[in-house]
Amino acid sequence: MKTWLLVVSMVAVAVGVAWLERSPVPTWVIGLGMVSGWVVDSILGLMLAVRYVPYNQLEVPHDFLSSLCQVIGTIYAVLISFSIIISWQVFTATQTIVAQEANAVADIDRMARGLPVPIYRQIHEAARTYTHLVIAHEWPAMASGQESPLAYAALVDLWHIYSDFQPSLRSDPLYQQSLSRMNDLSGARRVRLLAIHSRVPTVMWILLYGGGVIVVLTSYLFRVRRFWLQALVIGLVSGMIAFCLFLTAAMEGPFQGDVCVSPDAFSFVLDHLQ
Amino acid sequence: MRKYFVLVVPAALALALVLGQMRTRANAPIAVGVLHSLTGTMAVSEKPVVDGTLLAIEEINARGGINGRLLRAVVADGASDDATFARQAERLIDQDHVSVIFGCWTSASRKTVKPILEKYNSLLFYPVQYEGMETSPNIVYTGAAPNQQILPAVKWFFHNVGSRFFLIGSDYIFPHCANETIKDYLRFAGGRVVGEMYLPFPSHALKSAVSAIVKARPDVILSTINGDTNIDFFEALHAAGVSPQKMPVVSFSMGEEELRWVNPLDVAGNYAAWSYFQSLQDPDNQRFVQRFKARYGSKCVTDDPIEAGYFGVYMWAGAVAAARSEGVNEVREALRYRSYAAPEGTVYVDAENQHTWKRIRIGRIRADGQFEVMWASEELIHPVPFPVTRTEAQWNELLNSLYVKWGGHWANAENRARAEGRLAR
Repeated sequence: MKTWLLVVSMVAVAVGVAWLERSPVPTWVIGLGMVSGWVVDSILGLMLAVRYVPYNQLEVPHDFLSSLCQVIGTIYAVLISFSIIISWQVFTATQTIVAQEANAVADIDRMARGLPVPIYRQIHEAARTYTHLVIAHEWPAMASGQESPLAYAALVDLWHIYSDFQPSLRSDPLYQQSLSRMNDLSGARRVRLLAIHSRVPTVMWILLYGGGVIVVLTSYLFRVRRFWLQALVIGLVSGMIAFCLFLTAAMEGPFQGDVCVSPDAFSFVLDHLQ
Repeated sequence: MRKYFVLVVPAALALALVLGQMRTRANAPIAVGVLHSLTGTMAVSEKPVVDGTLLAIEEINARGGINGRLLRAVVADGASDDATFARQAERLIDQDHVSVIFGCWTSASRKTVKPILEKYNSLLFYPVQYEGMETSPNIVYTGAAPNQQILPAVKWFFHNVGSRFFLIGSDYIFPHCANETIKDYLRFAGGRVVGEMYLPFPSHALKSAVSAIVKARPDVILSTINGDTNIDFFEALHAAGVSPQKMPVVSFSMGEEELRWVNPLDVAGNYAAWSYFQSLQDPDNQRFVQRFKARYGSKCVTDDPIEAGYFGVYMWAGAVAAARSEGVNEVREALRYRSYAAPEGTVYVDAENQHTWKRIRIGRIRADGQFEVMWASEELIHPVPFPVTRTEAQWNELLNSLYVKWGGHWANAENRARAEGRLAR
């Protein structure tokens, strides 16, 4: 294959992968595209390396090269595993906070049953409205990085019921407990909304992608007699790197894409509030 | 060859005709109904709502219509009479084939039109605040529900002015139900209703009503009087020396338009609760007021129902454009949580009950006939059509009992007839 064709193919595959990452296709398609794109590009790169790297004239000792590659590989492995773990932690923490918020709504409604009927009805209606809006309006909004003004208004409505309590009812232990749970609810909501904007910093992405490319490039400095064997090993390594990058990207926004925190906890509570 | 020619030419002509018809249909204007009282006691309030509605239609047409189709407004007169409203609604749907109706003011007219809308699966955009206790898949309520106007206002006056309230209203469904809601709240909050009175609809002799108010010495008068009766009511209050400093009136159906018909100095200092006032300083509102005045004259004013009538058209047009169809079911689906940056601020259609999320504002009447906003809700308020103080079944029971009591009408027809001198006894 001609050199220019190899280079054009590599660029085309890279551009294709970049486009795929931004297109509204299912996450698994993006994952498949990223992994196969990296594998194809790394093999095309190997073909170029075999053609142009003067392996016979390399005066660097094999052991030194090997050690260097090990260091680079280790640093990159630490870096990427750190990114995956952090993304995963944010993801699970968001799941937990969503469950806590939904639990607070359920507790508020349950405790309101001990209050006078007109107040219970107000609280029940406001809690149901808030839960419904979080599922139906805020979750789709969060997928595009926004919050729902309606869900916020419903929460303010709920707060107003408690702030309008008659002084004689404020000594009721249920009132005190309910206020505490209202604070939990508001706090959990704030954390959930902050998580919408939780992102891996751009510098980190540059490091992750750049590091991945460097790891693949350093593997080209070694020559194996059988090309297919070297292509297989390099393809596997780059495929693994691509998959790790994909995993980090998929979990990056906890409310975006197919791999996202679901509103199941709220749905469960809403079923019991109906 | 000639044989084929004989077959092909008529077929081509037929095809051209069908395509031409389809194209004509695709570009044909969309008929929309505007149903308000242009005559009778409610005309004073409803005519300007027609103006607001037509202004929105004209603006949409000036921008090329909806998906390339212009709007054709068919205006009908409800004549301040519920039976006429029903007849006109049926005519608009059945004969004029309108895709939507923008209209009604009184709850009595809306309730009379509702079964017709449901029979034909048509859609009504209702622009006025009302008593609630109703939802219909065929009505989009762009006015306030009781928890978005009446209750927050009563709460504000209870906390800031006093606890003794006098309830006065026109003798039809809205004031009766609104006052039940108010009484429920005051009972719970510890307030007191020192008098309750319903005036024939319309009513012009209000001396005795005002005497009763003066005698009861309330802290606040809550008025659900509708139409031109408001003019006589404020004149009678002024004549009796009732000042807003001693006994402020809070009107739930009197806006800038009605204030044009009274001497502003007689009413200055009293209050009204609405989502919209002309005096709002928002740039979007200033532009809306400018356009309205440019179209209908500099002496014209805008008020809450006018604004709700105006943004209702845009809300519907947005849904039609999104659904790419003016079919009721498609529009209804597209209306779920649809928002619009109205002159009063951004409003949303609630997906569950087709009421509108909006704010409430309390305004004090100024000497120039405009309102000074005294208080506004912190956030948009979720519309709750059935006030939570009673169950839906209990509210329906109240509605039915009034309907039966009034001989199958949504207004006290006997009281009205007596006022008009038609009952000999």
